[in-house]
Amino acid sequence: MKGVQKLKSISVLVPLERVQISLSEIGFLLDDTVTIVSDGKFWNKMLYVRGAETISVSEEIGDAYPKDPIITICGSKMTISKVVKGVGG
Amino acid sequence: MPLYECNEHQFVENIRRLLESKERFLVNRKIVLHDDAKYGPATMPDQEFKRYETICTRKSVNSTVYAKLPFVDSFHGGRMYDEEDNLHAASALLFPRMSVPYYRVEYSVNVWGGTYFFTFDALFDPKIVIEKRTARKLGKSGALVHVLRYNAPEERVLAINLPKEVMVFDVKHMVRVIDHTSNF
Repeated sequence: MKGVQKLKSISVLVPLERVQISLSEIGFLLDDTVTIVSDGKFWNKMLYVRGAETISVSEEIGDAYPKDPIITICGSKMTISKVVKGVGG
Repeated sequence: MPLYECNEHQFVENIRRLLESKERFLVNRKIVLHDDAKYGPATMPDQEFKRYETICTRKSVNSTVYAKLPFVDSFHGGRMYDEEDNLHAASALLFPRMSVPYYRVEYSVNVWGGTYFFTFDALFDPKIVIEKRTARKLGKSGALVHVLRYNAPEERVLAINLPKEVMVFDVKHMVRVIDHTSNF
């Protein structure tokens, strides 16, 4: 990856499916998943990778409402803008 | 020395702000394996419990979990469960008989005398296979039996993605010092 890596975390009120579509459109592939417990809640944490850039998406498991996946991006400024725009942030 | 707990979003955004301020800082990370029966099948949400449905059953979240068939828990020294064994009682949710090991992951950063931390538990990944095993209950020649294995999550999925210029130190234990000097 060319350029400096930047960091950004966003929490958006959009369905996970929309986040996944947005990531796949810009070439990120699902690499691994893990179930984590944080704040007494179960979360599904998914790691997406494209070259040296990584994006993790954590979504609460179960009937929680509203669902607001946490998206953590470590990548170029361009990637961050595309993801934020793609999920309506 | 105040301690401030953050969630993932807050912790990452705090790191981003530190990076943008050009402040020098160090991130500490502690990953420790725990097998203290903190997590059992009764308290899991349905989506997670589905991964165990080959070997156990329950009516709903926080209901008693029973073994559907005999199986061996290979992570816990080959512990054998019989069909209809109570694996996690609704009346003892804090003390499951069948439990899930996990990594306790703790990230922290020290800035201006304060410690900002984010912690989470990463559950091991269950895998159920059928194997030929020998045991007193299975006879001398052995028999095919369901075996529950747990695979540790990969480090890459446990890690918080941070730019290369952020230095992350792995630590075994963090000693939290109480500073009484401000009392005088």
